Amino acid sequence: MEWFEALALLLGAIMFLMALGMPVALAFLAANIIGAWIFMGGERGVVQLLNNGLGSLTTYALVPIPLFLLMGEIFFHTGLGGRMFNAIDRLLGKLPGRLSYVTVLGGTAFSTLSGSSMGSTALLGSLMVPEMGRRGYKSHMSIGPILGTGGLAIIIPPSALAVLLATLAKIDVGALLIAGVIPGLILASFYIGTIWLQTKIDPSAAPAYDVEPMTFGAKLALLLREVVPMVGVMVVIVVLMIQGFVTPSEAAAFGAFGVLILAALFRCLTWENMKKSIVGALRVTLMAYLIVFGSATFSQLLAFSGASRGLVTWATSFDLAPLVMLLVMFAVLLLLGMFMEQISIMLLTVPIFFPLAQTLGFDPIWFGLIMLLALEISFTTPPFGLLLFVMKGVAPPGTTMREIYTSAFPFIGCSLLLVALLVAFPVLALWLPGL
Amino acid sequence: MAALHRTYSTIVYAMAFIAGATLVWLMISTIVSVLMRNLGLQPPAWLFTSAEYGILYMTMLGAPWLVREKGHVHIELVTSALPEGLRNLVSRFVALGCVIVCLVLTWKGIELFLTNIERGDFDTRAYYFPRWILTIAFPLSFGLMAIEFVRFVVGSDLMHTGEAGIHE
Repeated sequence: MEWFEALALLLGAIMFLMALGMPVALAFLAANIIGAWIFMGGERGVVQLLNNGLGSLTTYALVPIPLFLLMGEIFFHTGLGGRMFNAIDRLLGKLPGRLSYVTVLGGTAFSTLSGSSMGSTALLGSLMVPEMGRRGYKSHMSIGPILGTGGLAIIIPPSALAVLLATLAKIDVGALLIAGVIPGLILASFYIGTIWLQTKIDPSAAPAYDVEPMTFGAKLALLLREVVPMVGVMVVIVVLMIQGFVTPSEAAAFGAFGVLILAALFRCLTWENMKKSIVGALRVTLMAYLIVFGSATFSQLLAFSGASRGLVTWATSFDLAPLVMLLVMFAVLLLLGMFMEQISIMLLTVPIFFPLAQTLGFDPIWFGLIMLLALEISFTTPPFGLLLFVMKGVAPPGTTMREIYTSAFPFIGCSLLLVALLVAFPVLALWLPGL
Repeated sequence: MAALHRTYSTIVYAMAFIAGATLVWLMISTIVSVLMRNLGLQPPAWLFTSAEYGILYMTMLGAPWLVREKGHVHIELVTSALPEGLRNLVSRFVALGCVIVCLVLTWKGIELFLTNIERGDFDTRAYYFPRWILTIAFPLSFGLMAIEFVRFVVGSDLMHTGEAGIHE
């Protein structure tokens, strides 16, 4: 079988089954079974699939995924997230477009800590969109920032998806996590700039209103009590990782434990909250791990059948500039993101894109970050970006998909601008991990 | 029959409970090993190994429960565009596909498990760990997943809702 036939068979089987509505993990396993049967010696190939799965799943590097998720779920279910959000809201005082800024600042801190874009989009969507509508904000001023910050969670640590990408691509987990810090902050500032511009162009989109004034002392107390401890947990684990005191797995364990202690201190830790948090973290983890289970076999199949090498040789035979190749890969990721979720996209593309990136001389950490950004953008790319649907689900009745799409565009633009910046100045991503 | 059904459900939930407890164990074992290291003590190797094996058990023991909860992400593209009767049929057909995948893995999982016992295979890390204790998780998990998917093939509840989008 020629390499392109093998590639078409493997990718085609997965795409076909997924499009039919087969659960993503099962579609991968089905394609793996077919592939193992053909390329790995019939029945023995399927046994090999199971053996590979055992190897892939008993990997310590996977530990941060459930723990980052647990950390976020505890943050979310105990109401710590809500408290921090309200505090930021009160701290900003009277400012045109204030609630949009609140959404970006609170949303960035919240989605980062919660590590789950969907969870934070759901919470912010149900919390902020009706509130902002009541205050006379136009819908794009609430929906846009929420979609934007929801996607930020994927690049700022603790990001479970970054851990998964690093594990699949066999690159340094800690370095990839840390590489996302500066670009994440730049992206958040782009969002703020976008809102400022939107309120300048159309002041009526976000009417100002009076809020209860607060003294400086009260603001300081509020900041220290409701914001600093929560953000502190995140800063501490990132600093510990940068300093090399802890591994990403240890950072994740202490992150989850730290939020647990905070919840106990704020007296909002209950058995019910804990149960909900564990179940929430478990659901996402199981799905991700079951996909990881088939990942080693999938890479092997691409290698055995000659598909990876064939594709890399073919792609590099055009002698295109590395930048053009990067654009092509970026476009493929965006295209896939229109109808697939992130973990599947990673599994499909990592075994092909990382060898290709290596051939082109890209830094793997930098390339990993670009990939995460592409996934983040695809989160909000119409028509099937996952966050768009989460938003539709929680936004007030009568919110149309069209409104959601148009609200998302300026924020997608910000992310694209960041990608351009990273291409021009890779040091933005690579400086921190290089320390 | 009702008693059998109850027992079976209890097993699925008990396995999910163990999966949840394992998740918490991942946190505890990591923290304990870091604390011991910083106190100048040598953390026992099983703390680390239990986390590695824990990931496998957690995934395998929790997977059937996730099927029951419809927690496996799937995309509704084709099914949402179909008329109800046809959607019903396609949905059951897709669930049947899942049953077949799980049955193949159960069958090969049993084979692997028996081979491991027969040959006395060990997983060599910090300890020599009998491999069958790990690979028994495969037939158990995929077998129960197959049963859970059968419920969507013949039962009244469908896996697909008919609403376009990515579901989880």
